[in-house]
Order: sequence, then structure tokens, then C-alpha cells
Amino acid sequence: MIPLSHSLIIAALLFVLGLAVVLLRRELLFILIGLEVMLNGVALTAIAAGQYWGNADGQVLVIMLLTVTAAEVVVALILVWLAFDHYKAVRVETLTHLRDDTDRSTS
Amino acid sequence: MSQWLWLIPGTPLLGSLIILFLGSLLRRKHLAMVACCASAAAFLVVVLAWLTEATSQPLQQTLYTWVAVGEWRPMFGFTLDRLALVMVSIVSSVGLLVHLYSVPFMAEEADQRRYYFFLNLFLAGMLLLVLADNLLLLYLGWELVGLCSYALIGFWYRDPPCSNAGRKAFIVTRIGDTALALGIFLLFSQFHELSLSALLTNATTQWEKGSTLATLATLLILGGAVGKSAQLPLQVWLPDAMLGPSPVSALIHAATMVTAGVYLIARTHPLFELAPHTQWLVAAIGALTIVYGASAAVAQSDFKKVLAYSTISQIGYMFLALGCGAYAIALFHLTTHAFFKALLFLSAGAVIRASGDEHDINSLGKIGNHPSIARWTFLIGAASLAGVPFITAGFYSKDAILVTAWSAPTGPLLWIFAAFGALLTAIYIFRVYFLVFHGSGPRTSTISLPYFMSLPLLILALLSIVSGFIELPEGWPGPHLWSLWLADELAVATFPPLTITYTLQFITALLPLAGFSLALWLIQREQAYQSLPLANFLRSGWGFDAFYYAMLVRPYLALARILQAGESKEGITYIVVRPYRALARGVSDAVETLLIEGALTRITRGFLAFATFCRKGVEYKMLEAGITSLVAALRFSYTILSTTQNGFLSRYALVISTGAVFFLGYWLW
Repeated sequence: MIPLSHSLIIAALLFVLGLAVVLLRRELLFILIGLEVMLNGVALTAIAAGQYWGNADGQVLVIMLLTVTAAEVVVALILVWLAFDHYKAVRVETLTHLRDDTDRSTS
Repeated sequence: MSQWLWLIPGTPLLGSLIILFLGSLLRRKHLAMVACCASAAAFLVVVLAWLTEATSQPLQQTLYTWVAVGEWRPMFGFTLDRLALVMVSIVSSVGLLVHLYSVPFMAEEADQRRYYFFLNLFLAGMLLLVLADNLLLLYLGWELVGLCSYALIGFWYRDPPCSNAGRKAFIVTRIGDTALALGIFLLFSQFHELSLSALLTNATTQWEKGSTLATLATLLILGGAVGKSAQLPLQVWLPDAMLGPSPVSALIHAATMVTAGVYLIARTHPLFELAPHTQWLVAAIGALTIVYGASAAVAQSDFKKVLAYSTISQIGYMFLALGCGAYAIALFHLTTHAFFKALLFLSAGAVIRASGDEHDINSLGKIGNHPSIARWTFLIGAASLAGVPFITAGFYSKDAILVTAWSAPTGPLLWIFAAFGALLTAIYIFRVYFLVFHGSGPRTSTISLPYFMSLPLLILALLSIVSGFIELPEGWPGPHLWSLWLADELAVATFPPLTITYTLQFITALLPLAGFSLALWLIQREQAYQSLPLANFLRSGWGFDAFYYAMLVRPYLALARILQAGESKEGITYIVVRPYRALARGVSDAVETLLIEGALTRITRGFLAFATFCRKGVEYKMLEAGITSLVAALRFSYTILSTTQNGFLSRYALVISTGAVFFLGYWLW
């Protein structure tokens, strides 16, 4: 029996690592990978909690999470591909079309 | 010895991990050294296994529980019985030689780290596959070698054909892998057990011979084997796989990985014996593939593609032997084939490299000046592949397969296919030999190979000759060491009566000589620009690629295009948008004439009069002052807030996570 705290520490590590990847990397694909790692951390928490309470709900949740993740990856990959197709760019610092471009001095 | 078993797949894995994580600290020369040392260590452990008790009894080691779900606990465990010992020896020895050969061969390449990482990882995966004591672990190795094969075929991935070939190999073998996975699921659902020994005993006791479940399970396993071993109808990936580096072709696509299917069937042969129909199908696929591969190889003009089709055809012989129940002989041919085919590929690689990456056999003949070691070793390999009687290993293994095929169900028919294939084999390999090494170019060589390249060639040439002497043909005085040694695990093959056996052996011995002379005749015709009948058909590999493209790839692309049309202007526009737009225009025209022309104009006019009145009535300056101050306030807050809208994704993510941390902290403390 693995103590709950061990699983939670691993899960937190995974989550923080994934978050670090999301925050620090500049390539869209790496950010996606980071997101996946964070999701795995979450899934591990669910598993650990399920094991701790002796309840299968956690594992059911993880199966659900896997499905959702797969769908999310599909959509996200298409978005990345479209971004590449339209702007020929995969790095996020070049994808700044949401920036507020209004000229502040004249208006 | 038993406790050191994990070192066999472990050392190459360790090597690949060192290269992966510490590769940037090492120099290029040292990368190759690490990889070679790792494979040499694996080979040494295998030699130790031979020297100790491994040959007398199966060794078993369980490292740890891999997964624990209720009662089901697949272990991370290895078994080394004689079948596995043979495979491990081939894989580690050929692997070591190819690693050595790669040192000078790949010395000029960039990305050595990736190359050696995948080469070592491949070795680890293959050894894992062979040593696995349960199907789950076997499947892990199976997928690992598939991954490495993909990565190494597409090693020069900046070249689109190479990366496409890698992808094709991966996708085509994936079809087989899926079948294998389904087979494993089926076996698990029946026996709740994945350990190979327990599974095979359970199956033989619980299933009747010829039962539907046994047939289904073996068919699925056969699907996996067919995909990995490039047999009909999943053979299309192997000829394209030749775009990878030559050492990779020698190791993965000739000597080791493609024989994984043969190993799988030999390993699960008790299952196949429960399903006679599937077993016959194995033999039939083998026989058809022999003729397919050999006939396609006759018409190829790419040096390495000849060898690729030859590999397809030779693995067909192994399948034929498996289907006839002669597992030991299939394994025997696997061994000799591994040596002579690796030899052929490595010497072909040396020739191609020395001639400036020229692959066309006619051009290679014109260039000439091939390294003489490569030439002689290629001749030895070719003789062994063609099965030149008495002196080559290929003769002994192929002869045994041909003889044992006669006694199988519908044996004479299978034998005719196999014998025709043997004739074609001699034709195509000598055709290539004469076109390349006896072309119009100069024969004398000024190029000498580096020591690390010539040494593996010489060792493999020696093995291609002597490895046949351990099992002399049936009915001959002399040792039958191989089949006797394997008799505990794999049943001895059945042979037809001695008179038929001798007749068949005589015919088999004549076939290479007939092929040799036919090859000379064929070259004369080709040099007179008379092409073979059906040459284009054969060169395209019986048109399988075009067929699959028309049947599978094109409909799939068409479907994708229809779905994509939703985004573009052509597809959906015609179907939905245009009629809708026309309708909308009609309605809006009617509404416009009725409403806007009539009522709305009057209402607007009324509002306008009201607005003029208001403007005059209300204090003009007061309003303006109020609005101006409001605008100024808005603009001030806007300039502050708009700095947060800088469009950088990472900044947004940072702000969100900071906020999340803040709120969590607030709630928790």
C-alpha cells in the first residue's frame, strides 16, 4: 500500500513540472505537452484518492479524464496546425493577434 | 547465471539512456564507443549464458511486479530457454557487428546521438521481446522495436521520401500490431493469464484441436507476425524501409526485427498446433510470399530493394517451415539468413557508400572500383542466399525446408512454390552480383575499407559458410546437432521417405546452378535492352502499392477532402450556403420594399425631428462637459488595463496560475 502522501507528492511534482513547461516553453507543441503532464498529475491525484478511500470512483474519473484528454488533444492539435497553416508560426510569441493594438495617443 | 539475465536487455537500455541524457556532454567518437560497449556487454552476457548452465535448463528471472490489478499480476520477468537463447545469440552478435560497422559508416553524419540512441534502444527492445516470459512484456518489446524501426528508417527525416517511408512502415506494421493486441486480449479473456508457459499449457489442456477460439487466436497472432515480418499482404513497408542507413537495414530489416514474427509463431507453436487451418495458412502465406518476393526482386534496379524483396522472400521460407510444423528448421533458416543477409546488406552498404550513394545497379556497374573485401564477401553472401550446394550455410537450411514441406498437407504444391522461389533467388542475386561487380567499370579497387567495416564483413562471411554444418540434411551421415539440441522444446520435423528425400535434395542442389546460368542469360538480354515480360509489374512489387493506394489511401483522402470542404469555399457553399443565401435575399428584398420604404422612413423622419428638438432644448454645454469627462476617465482606465492585453500566451497563463495560487492560499489559510 503506497501512502497517500507519496502519490500526492508525485502528482504535485507532475503538476508543477507541467505548469513550468507551460509557462516557460515558447513552442505551442511543448505547451500542449505541458498541459498533458498537468492533466496526468490531476489523474494521479484522482487515482490516489480513490485508492485511499477504497473507492473506484477515482479510477472511473481517470478513464473519463483520459477520454476528455484525447478529445482535447485532437482539437488542440488541429488548432496548432491551423495556427501554423495561417501564420506559419509555432512559437507563441509570434501569435500575438489578441494584443490590444489601438493607438492610445490619438483616440 | 539466472540473476544476471536482466543484463541482456538491460545493458543496451542503459547505453541508450546514457546517450540520451549525457549525450551532449560526450564527443561524437565517445557516443559510438558507449553504444558499442553496451552492445558488446549484452553479447558478453549471452556468451556467459552459453558457457554456464543455460544450455541445459531454462533460466528464469523475475525482476518485479509490473502491474498489480487484483489477482492479475504480470511480472517483469525473463525466460531463457533454448529457443530464446538462439534468438538472443543472433540478435546480440549481429547487433554488436552492426554497431561496430556503424562507427566508420556513420562517422560523417550529423545527429549521431539520435542514431546510436535508437540503435541501442532497438537492441534492448528486441532482446526484451525475445526474453519476455509473458505476452504483455513481449508486446512491450514488440512495440519498442517498431518505434525504433520507424525512427531509424526516417533517420534522414529532412528528406521527404525517407520520413514518408518511416511513417508507412509504422502504419502498416501497426495493422499487424493491432491484430496481435487483439489476440493477446482474447487469450487473456479466456485464461486470465498472460504468462507464456501457463498460457500454453492451459490452452493445450482446455482447447480442443481445431476449435474456433484456437483458430481465431492463432489468426490474430498470425496477423501480428505477418505485419512485423513483412509477409503478404502487409509486406509493402519493407521495400521502402531501405531508405534508412544501410547498417539499420542490415540489423533491423534483414537480420533481427523482421524475424520477430517467426519467433512469435515458434514461441506460441502449441497454439498453432491446435488450429490446423491456421497452420496451413501460415505455410500458404509463406509459399506465396516466397514467389512474390523472389519474382519482384528479379526486376528491381535499386541495389538495396533487391535485398529487401529477397528478405521478404526468405522470411517466406521460414513461414513455410513453421506452417509445416518444422519449427527447429525455421529457426535454423532464421539463423543462417540473419548471417548472410546482414552480410549482403553491409557489403552492399560499403559499395554504395564508396560509389557516392549510388543505388542503381546499372550505374554501380559502370562506376566500378568497388572495395574488394565488399566484393568477395558479397559473393559469399550471394552464394549462401542462393544455396550453392555443400559449401554454404544457406543450402543446408533451405534444403531442409524444401524437403520437410513435401510431407506437409498439400505438400507437393507448397514444394513447387518453394522450389520455384529458390530458382528465382539464385537468378536475382547473381544478376545483381554480375551487374554490380562485373559491369563495364574498372574491376580493380583502389578503395580500402576501414578496419571496423571489414571486420564485421569477414566474421559474417565466415558464419555464412560454417553455420550450416551444424545440421546436415536428412538422410546424410553426419551431425544433426541443431534439431537434436532443440528437440526438447520444438518437435523434430517430419520428412518424407528417404528415396523421395534424396530426389528432392538432388533437385534443390541443382536449382542454384540453373539459376546462375539463367542469371547470365538474363543479363545478356538486359544489356541488349530487351526487358523481361512483366518487368514493370514485377518492379512495382506486383502493384501492391498502387492497389493499396487506390483502395485505401485515396478513399481516405477523398473523405478528408469532403470533410475539409466545410471550411473551404467549394463544397458546402454549393450544397447549403447558396440556396440559403438566395432565399434570404428574396425575403430581405420583400421586407425592404414593404417596411423600409413605407413605414420605417416615416418613423425615422419623426425621430429626427424629435432629436433636433432635444438638441436645441437641452443645455448643450452641460452635456458635452459630462460626456468629455466620462470619456477621459474611460480612456485613463483603458490605458491601464490594456497593458495586460499584450497577447502573450505565457503571460496570460502566468496571471491565471498566480491568481489560482492566490485564491488557494486564501481559502486554505
